[in-house]
Amino acid sequence: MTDEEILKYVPEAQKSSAMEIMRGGGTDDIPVIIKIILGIGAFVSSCLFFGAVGGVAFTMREGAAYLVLGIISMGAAVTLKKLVLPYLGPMLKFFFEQCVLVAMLFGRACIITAAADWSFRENGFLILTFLMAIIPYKFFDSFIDRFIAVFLFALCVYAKYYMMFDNRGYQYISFDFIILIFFIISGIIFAARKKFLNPAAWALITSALVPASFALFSAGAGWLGGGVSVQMQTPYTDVIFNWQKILLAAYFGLMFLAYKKFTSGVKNNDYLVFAVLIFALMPFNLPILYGLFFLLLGKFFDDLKVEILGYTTLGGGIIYLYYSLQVSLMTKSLLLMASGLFLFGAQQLARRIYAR
Amino acid sequence: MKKVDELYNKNIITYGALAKICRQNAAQTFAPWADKVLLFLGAALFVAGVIFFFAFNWFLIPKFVKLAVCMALILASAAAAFVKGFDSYSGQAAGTAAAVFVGAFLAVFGQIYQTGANAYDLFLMWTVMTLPLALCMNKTSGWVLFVILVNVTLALSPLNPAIWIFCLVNFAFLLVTLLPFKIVKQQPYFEYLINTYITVLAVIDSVDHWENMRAWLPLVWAAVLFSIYFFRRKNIYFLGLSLGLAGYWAVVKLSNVDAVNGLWGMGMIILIISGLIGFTLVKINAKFKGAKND
Repeated sequence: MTDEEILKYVPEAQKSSAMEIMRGGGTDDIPVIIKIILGIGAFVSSCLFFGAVGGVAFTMREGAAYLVLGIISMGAAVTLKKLVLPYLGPMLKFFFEQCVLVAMLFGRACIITAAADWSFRENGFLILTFLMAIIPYKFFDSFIDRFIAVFLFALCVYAKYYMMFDNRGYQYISFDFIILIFFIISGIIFAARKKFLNPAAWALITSALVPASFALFSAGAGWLGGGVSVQMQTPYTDVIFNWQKILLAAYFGLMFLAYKKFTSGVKNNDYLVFAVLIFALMPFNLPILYGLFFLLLGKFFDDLKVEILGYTTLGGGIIYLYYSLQVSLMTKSLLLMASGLFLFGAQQLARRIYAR
Repeated sequence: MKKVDELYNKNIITYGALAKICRQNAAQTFAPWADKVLLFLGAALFVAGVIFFFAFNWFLIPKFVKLAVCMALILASAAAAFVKGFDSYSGQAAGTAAAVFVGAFLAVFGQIYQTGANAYDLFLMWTVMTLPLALCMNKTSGWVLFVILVNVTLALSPLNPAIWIFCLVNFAFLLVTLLPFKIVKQQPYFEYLINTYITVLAVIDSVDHWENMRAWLPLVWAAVLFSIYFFRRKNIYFLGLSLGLAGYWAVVKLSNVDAVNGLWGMGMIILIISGLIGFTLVKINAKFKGAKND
């Protein structure tokens, strides 16, 4: 789309500021390699400085000392970022941004250490990490800090979920439900296009790598034994009839209606999407559906990062589906070939329909 | 579309306007994109199915059929490269695929006839056989495969060459591409890959050799990079690589001095050195840009 076409959607009063953005104003124009060198230098040196301070606090071995140090460090980082950095040039600003980032992360580490010193259990850590993610989120504008804060909270959610089922004596704990919830939240955030919320979405969705690596670990154990581990084997009926898909169909349906609402308006027959989705989602497992959703979302908003996330999740989902199917390798190979031919057929059909 | 996102994030346009712009944009690009995705996924699944099929039946397949399949793949990709020509991307991909299938053929041959060859012999043969193809193609994809094979062969060599030998060999490849002849010119990514690779190797080599002459290897390489990309080719990425490497060298050397050995001292040294490098690079970048504008 051309700039002129985009400017048609801008109110008259905002046209001048919109044109400045369209011309690419406001970018700092520092080459990436300079950013990397400055970033690493500032980050490592700050780590060393704060390591020295942390060493002093460590000699006290007192929870309250860690807590006070953590709050002071986080407070100082937020204050510097808000009051001093906006007045610096692009290079100095970038340099000191890394320093205050380390101060912030150091503060977070100190508070977590205080909680550990006071022997917090999983509920305590869950509340603490939630508060630490949510309170400074608005005030400290740093992708890395926001990402780490939310990622820590997500880890605590997994830990809490694990403990819940482990205490009841479960042998194999599936995190599918938590991943589904995180997927739903991150999907909404990506679709909302609010830049400052993106770190939270990325943290929630990448935190799924933790349970995924558990699954890979059990798969690895299976490989050593010469096959797919028992916990990984899934009959295809379990893939088709999965109660979590009802939630997913409702979510996809609502997203579709939201898309219609903001573009062409919702019509009565649009509600049929729920019925269509229930059947359309059946053949696929959950990761494939997550991948397809991210792929479409990334394509729609022309967001390459989300599109790559979609490709990665889709690839992982396909591998997981075929790997864990409870059938022989021979049947899997035939199924894969049939799936490939089916997609070729779909491509040819789509070409004809599009040409018409 | 980043601009549109920025307009929305600065509350210049509404979410409805954003959605409409995205829809209009997607309407133009969605069909070709979906076509490619379906084709890619279909091909990937089908090929995976074929590989699984052969993997499952591998021990039942007669040895001549195994070799024939590899030969057929070489012939098919070579024919595709011949038809398409090396100037098209598909022709280059087919040519590179032919070189990869040569390796697969050698591996299957070694498995069937138990020639006693080890991994080093396999890669050496593969490298030797890839050279004529890379020369014929004279395209960056072919040369990248060749350079990778040379490095793997060196790594597997029973002579266990030192890392500086790897640096020297790869530097020779780089020097050839820098010669002022059109025939040796490669795509820019070749230069980026080789330079970055040699830099990483120089750092790795220096880690265990701070007490002898090899500790100077990173500094020598940094000086070479700087002289090429400051005086001749003017590239800020490689200058960053060069000064970053020199900075790393200086930090490690200074860490052995008692006066700065400690968290505070090291922190200060890193802060000063990275600040100086950043400042120098910004000045050089401004100079390059000024020269370009002139």
